[in-house]
Amino acid sequence: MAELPVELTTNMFIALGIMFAAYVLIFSELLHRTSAAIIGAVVMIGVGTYAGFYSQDLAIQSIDGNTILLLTAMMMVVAMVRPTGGFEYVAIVLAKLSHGDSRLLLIYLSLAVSLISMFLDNVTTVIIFAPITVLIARILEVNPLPFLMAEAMLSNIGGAATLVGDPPNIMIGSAAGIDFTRFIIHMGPPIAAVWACTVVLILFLFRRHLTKVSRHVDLNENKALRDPAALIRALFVLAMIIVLFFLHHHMGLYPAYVAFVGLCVALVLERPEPGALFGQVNWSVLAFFVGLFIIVGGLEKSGLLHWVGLQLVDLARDPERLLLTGLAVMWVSALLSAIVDNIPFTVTIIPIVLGLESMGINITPFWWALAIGVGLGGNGTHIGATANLIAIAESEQCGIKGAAITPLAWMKVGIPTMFSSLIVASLVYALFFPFFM
Amino acid sequence: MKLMDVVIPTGMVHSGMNIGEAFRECVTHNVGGIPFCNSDGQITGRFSLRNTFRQLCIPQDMIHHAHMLGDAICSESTPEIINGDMLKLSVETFVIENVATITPTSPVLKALSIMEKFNSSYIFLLDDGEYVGVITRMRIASLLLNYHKF
Repeated sequence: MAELPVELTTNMFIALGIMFAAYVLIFSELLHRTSAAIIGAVVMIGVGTYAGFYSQDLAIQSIDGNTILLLTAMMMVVAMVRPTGGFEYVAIVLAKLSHGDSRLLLIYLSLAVSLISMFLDNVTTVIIFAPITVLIARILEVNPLPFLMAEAMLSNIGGAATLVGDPPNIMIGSAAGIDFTRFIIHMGPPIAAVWACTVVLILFLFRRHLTKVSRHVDLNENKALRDPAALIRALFVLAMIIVLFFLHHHMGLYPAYVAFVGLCVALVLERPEPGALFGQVNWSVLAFFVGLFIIVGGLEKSGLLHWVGLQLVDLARDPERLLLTGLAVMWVSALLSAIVDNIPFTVTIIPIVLGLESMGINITPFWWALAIGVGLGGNGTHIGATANLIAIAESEQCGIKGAAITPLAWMKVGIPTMFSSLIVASLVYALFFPFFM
Repeated sequence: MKLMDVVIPTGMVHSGMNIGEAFRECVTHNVGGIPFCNSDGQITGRFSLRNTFRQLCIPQDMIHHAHMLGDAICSESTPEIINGDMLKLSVETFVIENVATITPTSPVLKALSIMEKFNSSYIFLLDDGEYVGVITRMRIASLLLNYHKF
């Protein structure tokens, strides 16, 4: 491996300039984020090859195959589960169980969304739950706004608990070599505490909206199930994948591989029409991630991320200040994730943390801090997470008076929620710090 | 069978008309939509019953979960229908820009194909750029039955 420079070089500035330009395009939405990432990646390879710090081979090596393949497999599995109507069935049953008590309904729906988001993509979960939630609220003649916001926020929180719940977690787990079980053991307790506090806070903030109504949910849950046999097969496959996730490290298998094992079983059982199945995969997201990996790969090969690591090494090396540094990582990650897409941030920060490890620093607490920060920060603003934007779009489309979630309305709830979540997570992190080491 | 044999002559919707008047024109001629023309008399869009209902009183969440709906929801969720307010609204907000047209020399099969492609039950017949009327699937089927004395 070539020796990386310890001083700033021209190549570092070139790579930084390309990454900066690409990120401006991504965050400003002047171009679609995937287009911006692809352009940034192509420019990084071209310029990097000319300048001598990057190459096509290095670019391909910088793509995290485990992350991309795991996401692909899970998207395909979700594509087979989604049409069964199982999620809608759950939502209607929970709505009926709440017996018109809006507070209970919010808790039930949020719990369901959080649990599903732990294992499936939280964006898909909110896409499915948001329209049925609006319909339930419409029937009960209550404002769907608190429910939509709660679902998006608690879906983000639920997704933060597991290795596969959120793309940044997949990236962190893949880079750090953290397996599914270890991830949930470490992230589960702080996220459970955060979840409970967030529900209580949301119930308090929306106390005027959440009343008891006498209307009953006039929806037939049995008609939601389009193909009960397909649902049973899909649940079997999902259960198998979850079991395999818990066991993958014992078998020496990547999470992506076990997801593909589950996918193979689903393909045999379901025999989906290929066009419909592949059409459901979000290729745009996958291409976006590939582009980001290549851009950050160029930055890393220029030596800039190593240089950044060198600047941080003194702060991180002091065992006395390890907790403080971990908390700083958590809060900075959260605050940045609230205002910018957490994926580019995570992709950029991972090589810096890995670089610190090569300097002899115990980086394990930083991985957990990073996962907590990027997972919880997204709740702060409406643009902090894709699930938030879906909830907002649904609230605007539904046409119910007073239901539209404005950016300000989001922040009025999102900012207190994000800060309370971070305070709770910080307390758990600090009190049980040896556990996170 | 020629398209001129099945065309239904109708009026057009223009700026300033309300939904009630547009509905009346559609109902009188038993068609699902009629063209919208600008002040120069040019067809610039279409007024569709389906689109108007969808925009006014059928929310997307209800359409998506229509198969699960009970019978208690409809009337209470659409006050615009009960009080008739929707009929007084201006048509302009409900005009769709994309318009499928066909000429009298085109075969019926082409008209059916275009309706299929645009997921529509009607298409407008234009002769040398002038509006003639609406071609509907129902009208084609009716003429077919008469032609074969079935």
